[in-house]
Amino acid sequence: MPDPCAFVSADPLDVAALEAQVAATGCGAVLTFVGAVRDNFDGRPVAGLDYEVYAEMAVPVMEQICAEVAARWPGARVAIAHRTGRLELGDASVVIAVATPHRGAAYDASRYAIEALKARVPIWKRESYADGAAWKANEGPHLPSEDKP
Amino acid sequence: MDEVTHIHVDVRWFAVLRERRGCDRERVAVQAGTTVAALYERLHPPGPAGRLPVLYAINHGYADPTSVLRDGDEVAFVPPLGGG
Repeated sequence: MPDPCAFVSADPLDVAALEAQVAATGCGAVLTFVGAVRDNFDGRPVAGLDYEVYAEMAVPVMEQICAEVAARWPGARVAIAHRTGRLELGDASVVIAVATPHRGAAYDASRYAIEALKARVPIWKRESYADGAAWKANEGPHLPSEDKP
Repeated sequence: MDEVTHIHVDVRWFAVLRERRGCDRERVAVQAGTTVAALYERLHPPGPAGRLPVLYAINHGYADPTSVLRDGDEVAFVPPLGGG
């Protein structure tokens, strides 16, 4: 049974495992994006984060993004994993591993995947501060579907 | 006397809307022919800045606001996204 190209996990993400999953001898480049929990938002100290995920929809949308990457960059192999639940500072919230025959496509495909995830995948982030918490929306467009070039 | 046909849909609530609504899912009776946008207008929990703009999802895919609901649909009103 092949590894899933996209999944959500309540457990810490295994970056090395995702890299190994996309690696292939035909790919000369492996590039991994790791989103990490930052200690501040606009200078306001962040104590931690909670991610809420509509898993039944998030995974199909992430899989759709994987398919778009494979279509746009022939030979590209991609895996996307997102955490759900409570995260502490420095924890990896998302990992996107990409392997491509040559490195140019790896940078482009990696960027495409994270921007598409932020714009389309039904996941929400609640930042905790010393004096409260707030749901934080991503900057940029929230698009229901693939952005046409 | 006119008879109005009702169907049932499952509504999923997330994030700030879940907090305001006070539940994460509910089964709702709607008049046949109701659009997903009209259902949100009917159900949306009020907030300090009025109605939160959302994307509409039906059966795990994004849907046009004018999409007509069908019996058994799962509907989600998607607040501004925060993934990644």
